[in-house]
Amino acid sequence: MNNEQIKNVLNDYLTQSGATEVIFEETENSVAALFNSREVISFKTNIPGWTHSGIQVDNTGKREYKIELRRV
Amino acid sequence: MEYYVVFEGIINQEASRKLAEAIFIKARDIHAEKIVVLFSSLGGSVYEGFIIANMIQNSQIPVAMHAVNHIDSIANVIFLSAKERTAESHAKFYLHSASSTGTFDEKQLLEQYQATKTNNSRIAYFISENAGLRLERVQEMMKKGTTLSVQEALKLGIVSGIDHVEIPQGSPREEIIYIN
Repeated sequence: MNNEQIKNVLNDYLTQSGATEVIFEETENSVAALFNSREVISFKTNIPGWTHSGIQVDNTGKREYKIELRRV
Repeated sequence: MEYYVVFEGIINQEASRKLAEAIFIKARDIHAEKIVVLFSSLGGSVYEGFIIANMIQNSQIPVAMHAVNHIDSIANVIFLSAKERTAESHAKFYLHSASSTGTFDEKQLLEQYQATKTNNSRIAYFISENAGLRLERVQEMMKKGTTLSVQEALKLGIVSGIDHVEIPQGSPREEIIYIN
C-alpha cells in the first residue's frame, strides 16, 4: 500500500471514531494522523507491510492524539 | 520471540506465585525476548501486589503490560511497574484508598488504621513515581475513588498507547485466569 492508500484507511478509521480536525504528516516510509476526538477507539486494521503505533497523545500539541503507521 | 501471559483475577498468593513462574522461569526457559501480559484484575492483596510489581520491574526479560478489562486497586501498581504500558480502548482503571477487614479490639484497630494509612502512602508514591503524576493529585484520586477511562489514563500518562492486541497464533503463552 502507498501513502495515499494508508491515508484513506486512516480516514475511514478516524471517521468511525468521530475524530475531527485531522491533519496528516508523512515521510517516505511513514504516515501519521494527528487529530482531536471526544472518544477514542483502537485502530484494528491489519495492513501487510505496515506497523502502527497505537493511539498516543500528540506531544507536539498540534492536536490531542496521533497515530503513526510505519512501513516495515 | 514474545511470550504472552493472560492474567485475569484477584491478586493473592496463588496468583503471584503463578505470575512469578511465568516471568522468571517459563519465559526464560523458552528464551523469550519480551513478555507481554494481557492484564485485568479487580485488585486484592497490597503485599502480593508489590511483590509482583517488584518482579516485573526487575525482570531480566522486558515486560510489557496491556490492560484488557479492569485495572482496579492494587492492580494499578502492578500495571505501572512496566515501562511499556498499553490498553484496549474498552479497559478501565479504578484508583481508591486501601482498606482492611476483620474484627479488631482497640489496640488492633489502631494498628490497622496505621497499616491502612501506610498502604495508602505506598500505593500513592508508586503511582506518582511511575506514572509521573503529582503526588497530591494521586492522593486526591485515591481518596475520592476515581474511575478512569483509557482515554483519561492516556492523557495522564498511566497508559502510553491505546491499541488492540490479539495473541498471534502459535505464540508461546500462559493463562492465569480466576473467574469467580
